[in-house]
Amino acid sequence: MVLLDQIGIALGAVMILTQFSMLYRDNLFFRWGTRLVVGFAMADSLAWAMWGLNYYVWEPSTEKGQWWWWLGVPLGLMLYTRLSRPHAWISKYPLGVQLGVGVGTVAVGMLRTQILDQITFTVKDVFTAVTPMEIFNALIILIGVVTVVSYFFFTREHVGVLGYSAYIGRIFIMASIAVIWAGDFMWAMAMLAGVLYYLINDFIKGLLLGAAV
Amino acid sequence: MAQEVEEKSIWDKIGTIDYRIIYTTIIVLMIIPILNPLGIPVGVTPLTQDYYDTIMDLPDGSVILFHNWVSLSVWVDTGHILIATFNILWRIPQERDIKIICYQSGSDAYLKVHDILEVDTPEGVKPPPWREETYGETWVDLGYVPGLGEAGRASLMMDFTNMVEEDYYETPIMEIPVIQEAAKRAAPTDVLNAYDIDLMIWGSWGCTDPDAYVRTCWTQGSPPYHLPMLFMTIGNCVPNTMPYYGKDKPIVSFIPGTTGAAELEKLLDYHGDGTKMSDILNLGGIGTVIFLVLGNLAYFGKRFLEKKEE
Repeated sequence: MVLLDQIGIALGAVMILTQFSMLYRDNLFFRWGTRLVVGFAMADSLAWAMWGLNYYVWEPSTEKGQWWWWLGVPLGLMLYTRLSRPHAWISKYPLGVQLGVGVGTVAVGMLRTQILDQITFTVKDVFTAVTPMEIFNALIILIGVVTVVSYFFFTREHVGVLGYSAYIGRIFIMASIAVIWAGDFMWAMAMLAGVLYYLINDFIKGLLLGAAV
Repeated sequence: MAQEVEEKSIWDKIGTIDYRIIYTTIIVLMIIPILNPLGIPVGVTPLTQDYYDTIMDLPDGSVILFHNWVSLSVWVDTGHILIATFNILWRIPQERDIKIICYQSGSDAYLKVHDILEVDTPEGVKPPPWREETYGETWVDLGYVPGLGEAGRASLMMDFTNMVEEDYYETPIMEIPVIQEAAKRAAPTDVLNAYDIDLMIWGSWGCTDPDAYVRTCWTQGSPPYHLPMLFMTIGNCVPNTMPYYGKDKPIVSFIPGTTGAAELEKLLDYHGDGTKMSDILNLGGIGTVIFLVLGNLAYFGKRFLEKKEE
């Protein structure tokens, strides 16, 4: 293990321990670690942004004569006018361009992908399902979609059939939130497992005890 | 002065366990398999089997696009899926003539992938000798492609040269044989676009990415690209991915989180970090379930049994 790797592992372990110290309570060590990580992240982002500028603007313009790549640079610089209150309005122009490009790219795809196709899949699955489990799943999804939509139907009071439907919809919403929470929890556990593995395997065994990991 | 201390019921005691005891117990449980791997058996779910089969059952001569945006911040959850996926790709026999075009859209992902591409162990993904010898003919690494937000990706799918001019070794991409051959598969024959690709494998950590990728790689195009995808992601993105998952849908299969990596490793018959992580997660999960049960016992015990005592 070369010296640079050793420093990296030690620094990583110290940063992890700063964050773990929050489990006890807020403290100076935690705040120092947090700010250092944010600082590192900012420096890394800045370095890569400069790399991108070189990749998309400087090299094409100087090596291939593609000067038009510079046209975007003033727009990027205009964003920095936000730092001056009297000139902040200028930053709205590049933001407008960005928003326009974003909306133009996304709008049609979103309508088709997230609305029309989803409706089609929901209904079609019931008729294309083959195995009993597929049919069961497709029906559950269809019932779930209809009842959840009815839950958000506010122009009529939730009584009678609509009341029952909205009630079932509420159960589906609760079940969905439970699934999302369980996923979040297991993801957090995986992150914890990763840092524990790093602390024990790389830092304690590898660096402090000198074992091959 | 003697103080009258109200005695806590058993349900109160269970329900107010100090959170530091809970953290410590779960952490201790998770440390056990790190010190002494338990090798808890892993079953292969249909999702993982589909993921593996989709790659292995591709028709001979197919082109795979491998887009990696697995950030280092989620490497412990998703990185092992990426490693296992590389290992699946490298095990495809040479005679099947499967071409691979890979690139990275995150700066840290780029650095990490190029680290592990040099490592010839289960934790690394060094290509087999025949792939190394035929670089540019059977596979190509386009390196880091910055600016691949939705607009950038949409542009890439229309024509790769819009976003990438050179590969990792600074060869103009349209001079690379594998790119030229792939581009000829659909008109226009001098442009590499989504119509030339048979399967896209992508890894990312954003839960809204399934929507965005389906928009740019499935819905976009005239006629629509309808590019089938395999997705590797973090454990909590399942609800965002499920609407697009299915045999005739955009996402043919997906692997959420490191447990899926363990399953892939089982299919590939090696014990990598995914298997180790799965062990740790299983034991941590058992601890969590115990505390969940205790919490529920405390709640229902206090609600129903204490009333009877009164």
